[in-house]
Amino acid sequence: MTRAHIQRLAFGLALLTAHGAFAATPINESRPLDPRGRVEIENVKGSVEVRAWDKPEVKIEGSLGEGVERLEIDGDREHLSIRVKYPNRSGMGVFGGGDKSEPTDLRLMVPIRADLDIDVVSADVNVEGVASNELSIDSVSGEVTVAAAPREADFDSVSGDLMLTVNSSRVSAETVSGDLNLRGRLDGEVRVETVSGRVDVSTLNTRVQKLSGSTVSGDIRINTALANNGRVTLETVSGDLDLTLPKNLSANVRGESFSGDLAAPGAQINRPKHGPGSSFDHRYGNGDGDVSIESFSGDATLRLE
Amino acid sequence: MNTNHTDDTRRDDLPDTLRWQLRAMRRDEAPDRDLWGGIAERIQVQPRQAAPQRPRWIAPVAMAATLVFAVGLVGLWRTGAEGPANPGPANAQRDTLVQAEAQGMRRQYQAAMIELGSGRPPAELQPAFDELDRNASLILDALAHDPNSRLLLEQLRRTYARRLALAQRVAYA
Repeated sequence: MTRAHIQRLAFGLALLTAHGAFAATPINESRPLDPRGRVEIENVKGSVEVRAWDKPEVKIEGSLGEGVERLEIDGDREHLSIRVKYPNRSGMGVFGGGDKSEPTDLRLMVPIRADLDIDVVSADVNVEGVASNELSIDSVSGEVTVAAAPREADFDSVSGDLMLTVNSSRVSAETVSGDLNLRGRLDGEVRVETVSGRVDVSTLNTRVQKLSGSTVSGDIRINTALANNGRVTLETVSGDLDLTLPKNLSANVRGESFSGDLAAPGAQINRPKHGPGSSFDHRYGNGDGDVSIESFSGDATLRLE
Repeated sequence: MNTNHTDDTRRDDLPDTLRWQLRAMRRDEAPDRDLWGGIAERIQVQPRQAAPQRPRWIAPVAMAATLVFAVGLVGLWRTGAEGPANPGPANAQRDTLVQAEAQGMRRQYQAAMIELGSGRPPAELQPAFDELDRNASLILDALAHDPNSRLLLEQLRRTYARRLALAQRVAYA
């Protein structure tokens, strides 16, 4: 491609971008909301960015994509619903190629303790600073990035990655093929589940009460500590499983695999004389907690650090 | 590890532990927690804007499909736990309980998908559907090697439930 071609291409792209910018409709709305009210947000494509402040008010800015019917804001001080409405579509609805609407970008300021329920298709979601009772995000292919401290959090994605830094006492996160990355002060229950996505969980100076992780073909890597009588259950079919716990672990640990390799410090791996499979059952410390790692063909490793 | 998977394994020989695990699992077969909450809401919010290709009967049919899947699974657990009423071909008799559950689960899942009338998925979700199908096949292959695995049966149930939920999501979009 010659330099002239590249210049013409760049000029064309610039024109297209400029057209998109002019076509989008600016959003600038505000609504009162109780400090512990609830906000529901729906946007099919584009982005949703949420930040927190101390005001009892929701501020909505951004741009409505060309072809979008309207931004619908319903509700009252306790419960606010913000939806990007699309014209009647044919075929597969929001998934279909018939929808020619341009992406909509939403930027919201919400009360720091307000509950959030966000539902998107391909829009990326970015939430920072909220400390609500409940935070729920549902995405199909958009990426979800969160840095927040909700009491309870629920994340669900199909193919979009989940990149979560949360301080929370209950977290549930699942994907089909998206990777799942969870960090933070997690001292209660954690449930992570993917089909083929990679799971990576790391707790920060906290000890979980109950952690369960499951994949079919995705790898699982967990780095955490166990509360007294806590429980960790990890299972995978063909993914590799890597669990790191503190050296002073007090738990009974069981491992089992059909054809994968098992490894655990000090544990004797038992293999039947006839037939496949291997397993171990080993007590660390006083054996207060309960840990189970199981795979079909993936390798499963326990590390103490 | 459960190594009780020889060809001549009989259902009655299954360890009590596994049998109780299987019985316990059937209580988990209700449709996914959030399967209908969002759907019902959408039906109320945009009930009369159904796309031309998506007739109104799809909602009850889709619901029926899921119920068939869920109820069918419960029935399977019961059947499996009580043993086959009508023994099938000789090779079927050799199947372990878990394997029989898996096969029944697969049939129920396929029936549910047919009732759901799922056409071609949208292009952007095709990779996810392919991924779910690939992983379901992976689990079924693994079950052929380890027919007594509770782990694999539970993973198969989850994967089918996920696939069905995604198909429903498309149907109601």
